[in-house]
Amino acid sequence: MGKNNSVILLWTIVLLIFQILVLNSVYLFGFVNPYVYVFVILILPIDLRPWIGLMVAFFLGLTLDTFTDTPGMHMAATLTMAFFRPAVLRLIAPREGYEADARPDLGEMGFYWYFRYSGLLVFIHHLLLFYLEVFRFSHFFHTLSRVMLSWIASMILIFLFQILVQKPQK
Amino acid sequence: MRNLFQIILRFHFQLLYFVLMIISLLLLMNSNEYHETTWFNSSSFVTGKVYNTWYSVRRYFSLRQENDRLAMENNILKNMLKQNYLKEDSQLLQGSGTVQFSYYPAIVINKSVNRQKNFMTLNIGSLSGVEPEMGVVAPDGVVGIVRDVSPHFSTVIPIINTGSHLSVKIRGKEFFGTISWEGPDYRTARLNEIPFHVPVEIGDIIETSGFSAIFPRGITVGIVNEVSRGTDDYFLDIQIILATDFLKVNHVMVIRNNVRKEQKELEQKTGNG
Repeated sequence: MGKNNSVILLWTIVLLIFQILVLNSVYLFGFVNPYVYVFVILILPIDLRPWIGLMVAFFLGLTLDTFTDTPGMHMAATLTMAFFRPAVLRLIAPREGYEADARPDLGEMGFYWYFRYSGLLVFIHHLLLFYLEVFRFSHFFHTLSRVMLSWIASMILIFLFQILVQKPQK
Repeated sequence: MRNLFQIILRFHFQLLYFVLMIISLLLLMNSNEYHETTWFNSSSFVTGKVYNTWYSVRRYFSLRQENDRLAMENNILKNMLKQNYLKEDSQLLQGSGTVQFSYYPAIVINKSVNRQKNFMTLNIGSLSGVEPEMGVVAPDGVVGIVRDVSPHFSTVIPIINTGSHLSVKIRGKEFFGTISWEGPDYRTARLNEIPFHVPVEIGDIIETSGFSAIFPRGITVGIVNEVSRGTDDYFLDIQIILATDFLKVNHVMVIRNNVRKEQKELEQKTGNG
């Protein structure tokens, strides 16, 4: 358990540095900005107490906000993502429930499970983030296309990170 | 009392989410008036330091483009040297002594282009003589106006911020308007307050008017791209392509107007009169 926590902490730092210094200045096609730091919330253990997840999300959002001068924006998005995580986990739980030490892992849970898990949560995060940023709905469809394109970019990166982070298959 | 405690215990997750969400939304609301929460500001010490260190790594990768741009600007400046002029003109150029505008070179260490409230951070601050309300230009054209200053850093509101307004004129036509930006594209902006009767053509160059005492006259802002009658009764609907590429802008100059204070004081006196 202790080892698992330090792995998560290490990934948090790596992802934050990568997000703040590299990805925040990447604009694919001029406006698509991947947000891969939310991977931190995705790799939290399944049996983690939900309120701890919220606190992790709070500090994660706070750090991002501090560096991008967007007080509250990332925070609201990551909090909502962490809020829906237990519900999403229940929604897509396998018929016999999760095993005691199950981790949200591509290798362990399978591609279809992982895609629904990360896809839904990242979508919730991006939806909130982009609409809070625009703060009005006059560019509704343009913003929606930004959400979708950034979602695709983030998902590709998240899958890459997931493949890196998971234990080699026996 | 015990019941209340049990309810809190039972719904602690929802309650915690609710409380934290209110905190973040309050932060969000208060930040609409740009940079009110100064500790969040990237001109604050820690974030500024991080971005500055990162820039020193990153700068090597754009040296070639920067060189090209600076060589181009050099070329333009060389053409303005007084040796190029005939004798009579060069006497004129020497002028009567007061330098109105001086320039400080600076580097953009952080910026955003895909938000409504875009911003930039420069690597020089009050110790280098930067003050709020100074103009910022790049070799290609106008960038924006300094907003906040700390000893080592300063933040800039670029043209591509929904809160920015810039007084401009059409080069060679002496008609004045303002530039504003409503998003979402960082490459274009709107030119407002140009009446119907003005013969604006696609390709007209938009430059600073010099009215606000922030920029000298005649610095390029953009080129007219689209003109239509729009919905307004009096004014044309004009879209311009911005001269500055905000995605790539890196080396900039902060402009100090040495007589701005004098001008402002005099104007205030007249206004109060």
